[in-house]
Amino acid sequence: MTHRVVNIFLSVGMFVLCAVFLYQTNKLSYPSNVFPYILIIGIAILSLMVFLQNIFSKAEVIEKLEKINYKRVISIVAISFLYISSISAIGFYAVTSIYLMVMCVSLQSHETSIRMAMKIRNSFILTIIVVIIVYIVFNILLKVPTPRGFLI
Amino acid sequence: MEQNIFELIISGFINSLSPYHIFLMAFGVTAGIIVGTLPGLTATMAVALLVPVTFIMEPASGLVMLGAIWCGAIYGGANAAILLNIPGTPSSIATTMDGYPMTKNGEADKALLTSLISSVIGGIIGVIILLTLFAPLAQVSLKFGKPEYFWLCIFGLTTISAMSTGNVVKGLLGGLFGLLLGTIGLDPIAGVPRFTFGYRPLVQGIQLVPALIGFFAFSQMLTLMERDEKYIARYKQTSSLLKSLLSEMLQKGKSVLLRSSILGTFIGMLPGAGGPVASIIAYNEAKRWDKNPEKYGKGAIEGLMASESSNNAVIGGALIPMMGLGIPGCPAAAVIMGGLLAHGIIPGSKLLVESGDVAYTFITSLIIANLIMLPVGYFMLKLVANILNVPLYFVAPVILVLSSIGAYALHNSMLDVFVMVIFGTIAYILSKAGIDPGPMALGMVLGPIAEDALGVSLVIAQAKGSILQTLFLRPVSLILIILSILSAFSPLILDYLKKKKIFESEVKRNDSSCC
Repeated sequence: MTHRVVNIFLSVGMFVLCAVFLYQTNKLSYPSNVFPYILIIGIAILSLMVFLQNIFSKAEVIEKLEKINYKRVISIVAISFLYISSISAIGFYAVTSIYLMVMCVSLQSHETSIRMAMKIRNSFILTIIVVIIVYIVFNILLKVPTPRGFLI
Repeated sequence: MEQNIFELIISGFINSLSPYHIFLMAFGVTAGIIVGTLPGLTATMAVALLVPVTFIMEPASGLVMLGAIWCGAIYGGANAAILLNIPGTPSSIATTMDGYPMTKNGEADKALLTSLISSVIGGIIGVIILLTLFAPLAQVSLKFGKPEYFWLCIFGLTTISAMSTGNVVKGLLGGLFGLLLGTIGLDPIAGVPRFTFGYRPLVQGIQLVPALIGFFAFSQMLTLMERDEKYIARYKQTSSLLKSLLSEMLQKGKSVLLRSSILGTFIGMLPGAGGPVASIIAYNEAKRWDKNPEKYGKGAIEGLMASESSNNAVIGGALIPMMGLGIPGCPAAAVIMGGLLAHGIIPGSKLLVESGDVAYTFITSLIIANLIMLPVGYFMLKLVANILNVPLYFVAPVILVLSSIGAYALHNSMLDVFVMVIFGTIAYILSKAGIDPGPMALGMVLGPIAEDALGVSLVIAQAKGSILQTLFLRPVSLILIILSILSAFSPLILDYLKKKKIFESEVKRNDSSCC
């Protein structure tokens, strides 16, 4: 994907955002609508500038983006959503332990020099240490509440 | 009266230097640094968490500890900002701009030590201003009405143009996007719910801290994890850094430190502005006054000095209206004011008469606390910097867990945790399109303050029958408008002048080679 395509996607995305917010702003009355109108107009003008700049751009903005490991990013976001979604139901410490184990092991996948058993052992030790420290620091010392579920 | 104040200052110093108070300060600074380093746990939270502990103490001792926690937490926010590009507290947003690039350049030690020394200097300058000028300066802050606040926010927003040299349009787009996100929830003037899309919990608006954790922590972790790198950056301990750094700071940054500390103190005096606004404006001013502004954002030590000295100077500034008038300048000052009230001490004009000894012990203890922060912080930064030696596949998931707690702890709300992840994902996607989280965060910080100020100003203007008179022609507003215009266009003018200079030197060179 090139920078030009990304910029066009960005400006189109911003136009859609403006349309959605404009529809909502039209339902508001003065003075609640003043600030949003100013912002929407500003975003629309700047998005148009980005759009036109890229439609009529010269070769220098057509350079390709650096390669991104989309698969890994999407899986991290998905696992993170799953993690926070299950916290309230199951319990912070139980889900956090599973999350840390899964993330640590999966993020070491490109470390070919480390054996799988070693990866699991290291991740397990880290998980135990982190969960204990988090419990002591947040629950006992700082009295910061953590979400509760049917487990701990 | 002058003699009395002098005596109170001396007795305040003597009280602050008692072994018990020094122990409380050392404990407070350490606890503050730890809480400040953890993303999502703010300085206000650190102070609020330990207010109940002070109830069993003498009023002066309780305040001494709270002040030390506040100083430590504001400084501690820089550690995560420098090492992980995650502001530990909102006051460290501007610290990420040059602190993290310094880490990437292999200068983590230098960045951490610079932030420590700058914080101490800024903190002390702020307290000295508080000590000497708190009565007259409290009156100046009263001249700031809503129209002036609006222009102060606009002045802060012009930082975006300086922040995004290279692509000002995308920087502004990011800033406006942040401002738009800040409008979600109840309208500050009429109390009308906006942009909730039928989802009732959104009426409370998007909370700043979870959004900032998302912008900086979650998106930063995604960026780091998308690559196959083992470490965030290589860390090498630099020996005998302190001496060379001190001479470099004195050589390059005397004026930066002084200007940023004075700016921080002044902005701290303004209710609602606080550390984030102070550090952003001080950073912008440092860049604007520098002969080589292009080095900012790439690891300029001056940028780091500006941000860190100003956010710690805010403490002295925020206490000026709180102690002099009973108006807290920021949430942490409000919590400390609550502590004062709980001890039966009423801030305001009678504070010096009725509880002068407690007030001056508290103020002078802030100087001592800042001095104690130097050895405590120096010892702790060696430990903190070792985070860089832990492989990324261990650091990243732990940061995500800590970020989740930070987002949740604010209101015990899982919605905030979802906000953190969603905003982090949006910031990550936008960063691929060249929109950095900095301008978005700036928009979110300043948006609600700016809108509130604009809304009230419009209502006043309607009552007075003149928008021009209310919004534009007040003396302080006029000064801020001129400063905003200068700040917005100075990067473009400087860029033009620089290109012109390069062009002229090339023409000269060509002429001489022809001859």
